[in-house]
Amino acid sequence: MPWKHSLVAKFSLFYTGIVLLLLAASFLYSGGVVKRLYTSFLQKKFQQEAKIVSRLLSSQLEGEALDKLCRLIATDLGVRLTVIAPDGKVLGDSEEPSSTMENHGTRPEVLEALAGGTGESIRYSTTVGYEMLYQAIVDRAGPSPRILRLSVPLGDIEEVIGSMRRAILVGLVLISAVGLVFAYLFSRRLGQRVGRMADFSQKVALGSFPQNFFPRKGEDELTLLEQNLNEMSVKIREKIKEILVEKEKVDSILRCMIEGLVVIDTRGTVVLLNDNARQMFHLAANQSFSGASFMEVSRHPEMKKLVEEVLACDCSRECFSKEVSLDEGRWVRVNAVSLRDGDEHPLGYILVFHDITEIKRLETVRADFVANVSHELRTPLTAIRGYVETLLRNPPADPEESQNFLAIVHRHSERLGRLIDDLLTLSDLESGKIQLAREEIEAGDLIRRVEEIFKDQASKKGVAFSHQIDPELPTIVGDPDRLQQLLINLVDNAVKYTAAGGQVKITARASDHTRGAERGAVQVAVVDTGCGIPAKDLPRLTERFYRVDKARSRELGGTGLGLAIVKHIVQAHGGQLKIESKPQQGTTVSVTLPGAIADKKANGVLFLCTANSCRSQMAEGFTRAIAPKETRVFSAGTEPKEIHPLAVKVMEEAGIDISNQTSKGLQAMPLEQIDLVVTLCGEAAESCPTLPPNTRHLHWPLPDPTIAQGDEREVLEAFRKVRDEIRTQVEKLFSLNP
Amino acid sequence: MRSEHTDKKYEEDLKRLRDHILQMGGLVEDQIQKAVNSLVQRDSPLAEAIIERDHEVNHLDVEIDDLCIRLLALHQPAGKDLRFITTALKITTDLERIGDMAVNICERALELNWEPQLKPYIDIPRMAGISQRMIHESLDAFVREDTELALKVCKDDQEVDDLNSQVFRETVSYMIEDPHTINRAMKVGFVSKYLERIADHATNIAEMVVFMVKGKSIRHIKEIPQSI
Repeated sequence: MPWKHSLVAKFSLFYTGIVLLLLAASFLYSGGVVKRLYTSFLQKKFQQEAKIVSRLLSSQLEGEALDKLCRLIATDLGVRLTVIAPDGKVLGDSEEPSSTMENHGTRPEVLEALAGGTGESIRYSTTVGYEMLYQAIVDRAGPSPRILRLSVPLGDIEEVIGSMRRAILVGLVLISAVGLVFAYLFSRRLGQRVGRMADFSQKVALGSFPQNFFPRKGEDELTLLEQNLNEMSVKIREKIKEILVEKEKVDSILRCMIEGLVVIDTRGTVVLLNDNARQMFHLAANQSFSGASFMEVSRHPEMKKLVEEVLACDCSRECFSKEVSLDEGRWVRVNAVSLRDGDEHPLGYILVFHDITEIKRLETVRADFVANVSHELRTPLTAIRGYVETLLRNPPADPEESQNFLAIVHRHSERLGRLIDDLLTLSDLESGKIQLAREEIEAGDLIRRVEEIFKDQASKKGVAFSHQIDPELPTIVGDPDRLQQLLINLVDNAVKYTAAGGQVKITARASDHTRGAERGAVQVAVVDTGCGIPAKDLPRLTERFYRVDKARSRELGGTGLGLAIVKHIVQAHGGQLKIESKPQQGTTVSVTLPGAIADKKANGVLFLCTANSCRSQMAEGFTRAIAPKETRVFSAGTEPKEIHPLAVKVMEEAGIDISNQTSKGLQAMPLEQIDLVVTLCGEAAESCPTLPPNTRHLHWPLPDPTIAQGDEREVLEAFRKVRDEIRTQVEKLFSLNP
Repeated sequence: MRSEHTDKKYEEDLKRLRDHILQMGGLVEDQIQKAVNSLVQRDSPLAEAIIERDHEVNHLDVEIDDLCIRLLALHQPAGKDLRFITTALKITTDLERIGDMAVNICERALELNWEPQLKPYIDIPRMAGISQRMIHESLDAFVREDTELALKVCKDDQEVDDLNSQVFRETVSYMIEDPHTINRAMKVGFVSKYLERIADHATNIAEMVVFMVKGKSIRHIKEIPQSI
């Protein structure tokens, strides 16, 4: 702050001004007062002296003699003495010969004395050349009255006043100098305190609320103000914290909502929209829409209509609800409620958008399913009923014909049975009622068994049937019966839809994946050169009763449930089903089945930790002890570690020997074998080498440096706690304890 | 009090104009998508419904024109508002033309649906998707005054042009192979041409947006500038 604007300067200037004013006033005023006091004192004295003088001066004296006596007396008194006759003639004077003096009858003091007995005057005397005080009294003691006049030059008094003024000046200058110093000190202190308050208010304005900013001392008003400010800061801070917590709550609720949420005001302007609404309407995540028209959020004609309907409706009683079809076949259900203030005035509307595309799809699937299942069941039933009725009403005479009829009935009832069996299998699989056996199976055996079943059928139809099995196929884990059923369904389809002269081939090979869930998986594919499936039917292929060619497939004896069963078996085994097809060229259905060794979640774990972290050692030790045998545990520290003896003790309690755990350098690690990186503190994470993109990363952010200090029992307890925590984490990691 | 009311009304009218333009854009986008769907899925009732709905686009066109003229007459806007309103006037013409194109596509779809499908449509839905996105982005650029986005739209036009010439070559090859396909191939070619025109209209809008924001015309120049 510039000096001239500061409080100190202003205070000092103000004070200096007052002192100067005071100085000038006292300077001017004191002279007058002193002069008045002095003259009135002199007047009183002269009156007394005049009386004394009148007794001394005999009325007989005249001329030279009177002058002489006057001179004597005046010298003693230190004044000038003049004796004047009532007519103004000077009878005697102490300084000049009376005979030469002019008539004094017109002198004001003389006139005054003649009128009232005493008279006085201060005027410039032409006779002596300076200001004189004249005091005259009438002496009526003699035969004729005469006037005695005492006068004194006032030059002395000017001198007195001058010296007095000098004294006052010196005193005042001294006092005001001292006062100025005090004023400066006081105003500086005040300025500092006010400045501190300014600092405080600036901090508050900038959004930081300092706690106990002002020291608690003193009792004056400023201290009170300061204490109030202190308290205010604390209160505001608390309030803001509360508001932030509330806001955070609302924000996280909005964020976590699966539904899109848009708040509009009564004119259709957007007030708020959450992330999911942004995603739903394909909006950029960082663009602000507050204040924008709803048309800027979505300009779909249906949405425009919807907003108009919402604005027109009175949503206070019941929730507005509507299903709207958006582009790309998406469906949303919109619920709207109105926002009202205390007086029931509408403030706006909350629109909640549920994505019901999937529900709509499932509805279609279910409706199709019900229609299909009744149709599928009725077809054989109608045939059975027709033939049985014929046999009952007019049984054919020819037993061979009735035999023929009965065969047809038998065939259809078989079909009905098959259909019901499939439906039951499917519903069991779906409900999870069937417990899958978990046996180790050689995929090759399975394929050969299925091939046996279909060999005859294929050769009868003129379809070449072959297989191609990798010699080194990993063992898979699963339920042999279900897997056989899966393969039967697939091969059955392939043979069914491949015309004579076509090929059906089963291949089995190990998965390329060296890591993760698909490590050691087996990919079994059934490849045919049949009629193929149009691309638009592929996504719905595994739905129940979904048929590509509605007329033809039933002729071939399918139930429409085969692929649905396949899908469920694959899912139950944790595998993957992939169907690729080109119309008129053939279809490849491949199934990836998890291998025996893929049960573990990870096969390589890398620990990154800084030196001397007891925690990391324990984590590493535990992982080595708990992780499945195939899992490799790597550790990368920056330095060789020293293990806290108590940590070793705790580990030994748990039956883990960590004395022979060795750490290897980062360079020695085969990065592609690492599935999981565990970092134990921030800095180590930075030194983490570039890992393959799918690598999981786990961070234990609690390296506690204080853990290794303190009372032995406390340390032991702390170590045990850490140990248990790590054990839970590691076990969860490897899902050994589901 | 009175002037404040007028200002408020003016503000509201400007907002309404913006909303109407967006609404019209949304409508023609939907028209295009559905028109192409009616072609690809051979859905004649859908095509008829879209032709029926074209009057909504026309109605909006008239309404926006009226609104613009009223704004100009009543408020004599200057500067940015004037450019905004005149641009809006021109944009509606383009949007209306796009709506007509959608109707044209539907008419061709109706004719094509009488005959067996010539070929699977792969490029046409792609063209429709791109031109639809271009309309969307050009109007986004209009309301946000985003010249970067507008320039992107101008650049995207090339993609549609390329697809158009690809479809053209393809249909010509059909016609050369088998003269019986000429009728259908021509119509498919028309549809492709319509989509190409739609993209051109979107480009026009984007160019007008650049003019509106920067006061600099980038129309009728060969090279689209990288930035303004």
